[in-house]
Amino acid sequence: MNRLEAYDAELRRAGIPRRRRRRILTELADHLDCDPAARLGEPADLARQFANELGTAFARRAAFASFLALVPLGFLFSLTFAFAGIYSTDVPTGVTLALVVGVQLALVGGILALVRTWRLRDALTIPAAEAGVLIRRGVLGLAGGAMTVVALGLLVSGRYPGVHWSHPALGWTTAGVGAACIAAGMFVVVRSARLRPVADGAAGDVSSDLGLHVDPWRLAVWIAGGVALCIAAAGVVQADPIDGLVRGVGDGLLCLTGFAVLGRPLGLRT
Amino acid sequence: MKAETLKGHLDGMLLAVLALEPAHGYAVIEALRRRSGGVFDLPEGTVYPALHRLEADGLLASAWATESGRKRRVYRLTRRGHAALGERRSEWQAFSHAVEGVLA
Repeated sequence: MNRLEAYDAELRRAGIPRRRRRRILTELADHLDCDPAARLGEPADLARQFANELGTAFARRAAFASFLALVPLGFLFSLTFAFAGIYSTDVPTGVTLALVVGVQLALVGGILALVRTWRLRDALTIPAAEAGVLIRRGVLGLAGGAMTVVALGLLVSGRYPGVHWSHPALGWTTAGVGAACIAAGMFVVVRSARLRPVADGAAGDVSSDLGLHVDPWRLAVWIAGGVALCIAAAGVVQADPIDGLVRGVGDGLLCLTGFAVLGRPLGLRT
Repeated sequence: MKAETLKGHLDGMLLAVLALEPAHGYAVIEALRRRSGGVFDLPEGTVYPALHRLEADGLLASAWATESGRKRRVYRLTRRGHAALGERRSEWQAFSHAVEGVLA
């Protein structure tokens, strides 16, 4: 096995895609033609360096692309529910659930993807675990966006006689633009996720995202408590403190449940 | 100079070399060596992954070119690369000025 074949084998082992591999080998071959004594390093080390540096850049790109893809959907979705004059008397629970969960997942996943990308913006290389978190946040955000688009499409399609719109075109526009953006975002994420860094190391959690030194579960309890208090206070203002208290406790528990279920995939806790 | 010492500054130096004119990998390494008076004698293997990463981050663009019958990947700075170089120059000036103030 000659020198270039050894590099090819190690680049393949490090997961470098074929097209990129061919390009690297052409560059290395040209370099060795110019300087046969070039210190290109051990094939395994060089391949790991390519995987770590490119994988880092690609993971950041995937997370940022997913956030960007969700921005138009978020903007149009807000417009739709502010101005499309939707009211309903009978919507299936599944569609309502998909809409509520989808919107929240898209919002949380997209923002968390952006926050982690920002925190790691200057890192030359990141551990494989960090790259995994960036990509999962992007994918979950886009999955939430997709759920939202499907639910919105069902609501605007006229399938449910209890749902009325004064401006259905706005609903269709939101669903159409949202679907196109999510497809574009997913394309970038899938392409970028093909090459991952191989470096060891742990991923940060939500407290490192926020620059805090707090146990993530403690932070989750604080946030859930804050949500519960706000909703309970709203109940007091609306002269129905018991209902406010019940809804507050319920929403606080939902926050904690969400943290327990999605905490690991979203890299909120390790 | 040890490669480890240069690592944190490699990106800035690569951008600075390519700000003058587009170049292929070998020419970039030669320019670094020449412009530093031979002080920055980097292992060549560290430069190529950095060039690929800078391109993936949108600071460089590259295209194939044929020179003297050889197929070569030629890198050039993008607009974002020029902006990043400006930032790195400012950071370096502030840093070196501060170090000079302490060491002098």
